[in-house]
Amino acid sequence: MSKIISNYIDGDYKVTEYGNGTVVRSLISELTTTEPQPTSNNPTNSEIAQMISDLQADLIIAGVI
Amino acid sequence: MGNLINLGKSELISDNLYEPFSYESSIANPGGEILNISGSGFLSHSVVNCAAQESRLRITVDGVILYHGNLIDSNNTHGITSENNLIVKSTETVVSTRRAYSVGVGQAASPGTYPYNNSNETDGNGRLIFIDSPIYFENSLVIEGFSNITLNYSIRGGLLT
Repeated sequence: MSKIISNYIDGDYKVTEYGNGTVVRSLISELTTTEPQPTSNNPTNSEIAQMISDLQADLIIAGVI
Repeated sequence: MGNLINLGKSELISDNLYEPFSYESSIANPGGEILNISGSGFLSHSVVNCAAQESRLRITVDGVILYHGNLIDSNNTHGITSENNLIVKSTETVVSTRRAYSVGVGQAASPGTYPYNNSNETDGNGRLIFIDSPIYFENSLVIEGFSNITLNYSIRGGLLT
């Protein structure tokens, strides 16, 4: 039995080369589902101001400032 | 048949061993080449199916198209296999669905004879061909599948390495 001399990825295919010259190109499994993308969050200036205010309040309560 | 080597002491061993291969997966629209082997081996099973859309399978052995079919059917299967490959899952009845490995074979599968090369790619005449012995290839094997939705495929055979 001939040994595998090379094994690599070529685009969408896995390629295996054997010592006797045999070459196998097999399709890499396609994903049939896609991961959901996280929704982007672009807060407004007023929301940012409110978050800073809330953080300051928390820090005051904690005695940090 | 593999060559036999006499190692002495009446011990014989074959130097031509087939390394089994199997591919069970799917290819996305529009499909294309699934497997391409430059070498020798055999093909014992190659079927495709998809849901209620066109599915096309082409098998080329040593440069000659030996199966080319197109099926427009709901979840049905066409290609080449052996009856021994078909099993019935315990949760399914005999007449409703059999399984050729991961690919279901519905009751309405149309049998055909091998080789099968349907030159009309759009008439929906895909066939399920039952073979009693593997198809051997000397130099090359190319399997292609096409569909306008995800196409499931199941391929098995052996590689002379």
